[in-house]
Amino acid sequence: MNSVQRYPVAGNVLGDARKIVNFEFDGRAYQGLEGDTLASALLANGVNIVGRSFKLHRPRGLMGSWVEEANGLVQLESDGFAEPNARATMVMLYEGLKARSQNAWPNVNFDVLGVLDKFHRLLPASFYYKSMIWPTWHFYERIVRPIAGLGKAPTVQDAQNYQKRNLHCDVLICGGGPAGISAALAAGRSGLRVVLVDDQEHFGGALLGENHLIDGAPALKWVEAAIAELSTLPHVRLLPRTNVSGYYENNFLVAAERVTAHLGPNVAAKNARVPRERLWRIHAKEVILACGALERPLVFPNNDRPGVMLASAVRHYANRFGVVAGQRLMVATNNDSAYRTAMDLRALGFEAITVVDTRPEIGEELKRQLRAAGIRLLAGYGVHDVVGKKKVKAVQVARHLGGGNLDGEVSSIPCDLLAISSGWTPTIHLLSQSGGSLRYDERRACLVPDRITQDLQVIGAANGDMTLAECLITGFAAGARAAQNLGANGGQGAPKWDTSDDADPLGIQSFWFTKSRPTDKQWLDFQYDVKVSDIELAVRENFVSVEHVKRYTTGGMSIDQGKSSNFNILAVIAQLTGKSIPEVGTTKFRPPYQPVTIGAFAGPTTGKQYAPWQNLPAHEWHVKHKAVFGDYGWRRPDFYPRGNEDIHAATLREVNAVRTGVGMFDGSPLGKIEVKGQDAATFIDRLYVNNIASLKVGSARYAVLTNENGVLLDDGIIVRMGEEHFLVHTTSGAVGRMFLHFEDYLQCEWPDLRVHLSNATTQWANVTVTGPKSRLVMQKLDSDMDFAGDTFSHMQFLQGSLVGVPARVLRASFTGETTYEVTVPARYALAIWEAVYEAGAEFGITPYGVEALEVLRTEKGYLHIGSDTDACSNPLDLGMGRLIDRKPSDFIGRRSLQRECEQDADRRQFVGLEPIDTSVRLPVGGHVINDSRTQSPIASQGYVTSACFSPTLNKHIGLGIVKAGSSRMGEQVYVYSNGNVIAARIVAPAHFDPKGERLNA
Amino acid sequence: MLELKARSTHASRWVSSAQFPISNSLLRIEERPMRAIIRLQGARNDERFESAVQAIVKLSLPGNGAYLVNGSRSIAWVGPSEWLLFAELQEEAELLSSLNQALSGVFASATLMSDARICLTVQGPAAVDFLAKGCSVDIDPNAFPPGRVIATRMAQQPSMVIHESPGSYALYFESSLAAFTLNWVIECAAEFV
Repeated sequence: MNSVQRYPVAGNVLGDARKIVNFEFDGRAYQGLEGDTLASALLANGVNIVGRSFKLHRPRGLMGSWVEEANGLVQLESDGFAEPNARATMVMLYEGLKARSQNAWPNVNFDVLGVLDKFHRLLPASFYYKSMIWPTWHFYERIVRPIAGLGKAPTVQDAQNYQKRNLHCDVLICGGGPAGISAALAAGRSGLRVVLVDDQEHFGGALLGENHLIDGAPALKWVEAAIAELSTLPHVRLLPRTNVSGYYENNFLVAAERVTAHLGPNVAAKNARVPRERLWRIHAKEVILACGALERPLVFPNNDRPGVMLASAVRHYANRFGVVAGQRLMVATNNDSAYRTAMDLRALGFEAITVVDTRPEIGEELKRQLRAAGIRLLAGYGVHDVVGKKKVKAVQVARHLGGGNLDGEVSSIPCDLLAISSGWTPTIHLLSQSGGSLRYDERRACLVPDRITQDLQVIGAANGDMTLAECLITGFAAGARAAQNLGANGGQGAPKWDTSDDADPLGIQSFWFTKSRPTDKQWLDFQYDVKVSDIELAVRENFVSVEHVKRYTTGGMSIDQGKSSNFNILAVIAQLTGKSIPEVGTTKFRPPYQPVTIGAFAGPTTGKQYAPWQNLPAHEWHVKHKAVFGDYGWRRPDFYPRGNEDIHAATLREVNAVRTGVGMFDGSPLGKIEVKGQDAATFIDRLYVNNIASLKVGSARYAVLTNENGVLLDDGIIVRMGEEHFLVHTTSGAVGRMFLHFEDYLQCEWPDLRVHLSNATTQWANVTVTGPKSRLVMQKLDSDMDFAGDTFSHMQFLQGSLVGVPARVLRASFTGETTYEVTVPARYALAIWEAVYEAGAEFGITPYGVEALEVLRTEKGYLHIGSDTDACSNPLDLGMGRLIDRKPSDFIGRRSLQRECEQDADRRQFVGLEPIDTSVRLPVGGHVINDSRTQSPIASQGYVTSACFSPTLNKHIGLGIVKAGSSRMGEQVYVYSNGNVIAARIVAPAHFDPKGERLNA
Repeated sequence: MLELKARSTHASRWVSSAQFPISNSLLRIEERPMRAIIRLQGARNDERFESAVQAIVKLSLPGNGAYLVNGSRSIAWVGPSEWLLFAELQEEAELLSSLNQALSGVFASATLMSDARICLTVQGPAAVDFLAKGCSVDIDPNAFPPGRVIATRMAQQPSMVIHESPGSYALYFESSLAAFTLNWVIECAAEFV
């Protein structure tokens, strides 16, 4: 492979001297020039084959020059910097770049699986649906996955960082070509916040690769001046290297900026603080889409051979990078635009250029130009076939008889570079995502914007306006209109540009495929190996919708996402079904327009920062006492192991301490909603099942609440702090949604109630002191409150001073022991924990965690809503029927609880369970069944919801919900789980101290 | 007699002093030690409520999205019937009890919130860019000038952003999320050096 001659680049954007840049491809060292893409550097080094196709492993060379590239997918770098499926055309060359080809073994030039191409007839579209049936798809999956497939997913964590940022602007312009720049000038000069985004390194769009003149000077000079002016405007933001990938509702768009990605790992590693990519979340008042257009490949046999490239790509490589990947050029086209390729290469000194045009009639002016340049023209000819497997050697041409049919008489013309064009497809992906619709433009043979549904304009080639003059003028007008829409004075002094390109560039006559030739070698989707024959197969099998054909054949899927292939496919469907192109319609374009790395979407929300977590106010105390933490949204101590204790030993010790001495627990996460106002009692009474109106000041009551269907939502202790002031405790994990539930009813259902809600959960830190000796500990603390049992009994509440700070103390219990729930402002969290621990030292006070609490409450049969109830459970299932009957007022759910089904005696009711063999643990989630036999079908009677070993009772116990459970006390049932059956007995939920004598001991 | 020590900052609990506070030519982010925060709820057109607040706090209730300051006291609008009052910690107990007294019999309430929030201040040329990483609202100084406040999502959680004085912002977060929040701040501020 010899490097090819480099030509001077157009417009002089990069200056004259281009520095040499070293890089590696497939382990071989090469040199490119500054300003090259990996693709242009590979071409400059004579690398013809850059990859193998997805299915048939055919050798592939570069066919495009930017986002339309379907063949040049490479694996970039390795380890923490690895990126699969990078488009070689979009990777700017940097010193030390390392890339590998994909989908080939041992290498792209000799790929063992290249043999698959010989069996292409056996592998038509979706062959796997028809053949890989027996025994199962999974049998084949292991073989198919490595054969078909693209890059390798990185195996180590990404070494780079990714960030996100919001951006608000008045006018967002997507596309920095002539139309976009011109629009930015018109809008930017008005002083509005304007953002101009382009996915290339430099602004200029198509002008980067064309030899156009503006006002007599190279167009890039105009670009340079315009960008210079825009960068002086204080409210204009220029975002090059930024790909707008998604357009959503309310003019919200997402764009990924390559901040350091284009510099490679060496530079990125030095700037580790700077993100590799930044995801912009753009909120725009007005959007202008100036995304240009993509050229379509002409469809003929072996149009995928290395050396066959889009005409625009051949031209761009020559003009922008100074690279021509061949010596003998042939242009095959059905429109005028490709002639520029012939003329531009001729201007570089290339001879022996042939233009093959499927149109019989060519304009006189073009013919004159070609004659003057000495370029051979074959008007009314098409490509019969391409000779050469790993590189084009010659092209066989034949007379085009019309309608895609070629004459049988074939002549062969030697050439090594075939530039093809079948017209242009406006880049309307973002418009389609925005909700806009398209219409078929017969004259230009393409889909153009039709209905617009957001504050949006489409301009330039994206709107089908292909000439430079149209781009500049409509662009400026659109920028001015956007500014005017926002009440600004936009578009002052519209200039008159004199451009070298002001004739209709197309004059296209459609030529969708070569009908007279075998269709199984005429490529439509290069990346996924979809040929005209695959569309024929789909049509033959009666696939009618273009969306179905897409899924069945995979045409236009994967990275291509309807760029080079989409339109040809739907035109072929139209041809084969005899429909018009508008009748066939187009597939829906969805984000992303270009692939966006997962890292950019994730931003900094990875690892431990994946989601917010809460810490206890006395976290340090628990750490100091060797707590093992669990994640409950809050990080809470599960247990506090001593010495070599495991979770079981520690939990048993902690439970024993509470039952026999005194324990302390951090209940800070317990939900605390303050309800204040003249109607506070009424409000809570309407929400909760229990009667709250009768609650006395200074007293507390356990209560549950249901939704309008009577289904249990939550439970907790409600304290009446004053006539018009309640403290409602909710389950720790439920406070967020309970607060919303309260607000919802207050604001939407009962706005007349004079109630204020305040979520004060984290204002207060808690230490719960519980156990037979808890009072002794409390009485050691300096306080103006009297903790004596006869004056301050179970379900009473006090406020006062404790160790010199304001405190609230509630006598309520989730352990079944005498309990003081102490709360102080969270600033004193650590101090109160230290004070209580010190005061309790002489009584052996023991901190206990969530594990011990679970055992304690299971022993007592205290339920946990959500664990011991399901999405059907109602208060009647808990035995609250009499309580409801006695409540005088209405509450949410009361109506529903009157329904027969809610009162059915056969409902699953909350019960206790204990294994007959008390040394066997009951499996949580295990189904309760009536019989020890397990032949299906077996009717489930309910299931085990909580289970543990009770050190207090020295046996295994459990809770559950069981069909008609409350009337089956003492009955033997069985618990089925994972093939095992355990005999158990239905008992009352309270396994320990059923009368609650210890609460007031 | 044992005296319980109050905590006034969170940052040192969760992140190292090498990482936080953040101070460079582009960005300064630090934690403001605890101050009194009292949640005021009441009807905007209730003259007794407004005059009680005016008499005790010496500030009127700010309108939608506004933030008013008088000396060491300030009030931020939170919602149509809710405000946050900020004051020195030494005033906390007295302000709370006089407000509760004055509001007795009025459909209005004052609730202690000081411990439930952590406050970070953000200043410097990159302040707006930094804030834009955490929230979706337009915080450009033209759209969000000094004296404005907004309750929004910042750093994946409910928060309040106050533009206290030109280029100087105060962010209020849930205090139990302080560890997450501070790590978020450190990560997101890293690119501004």
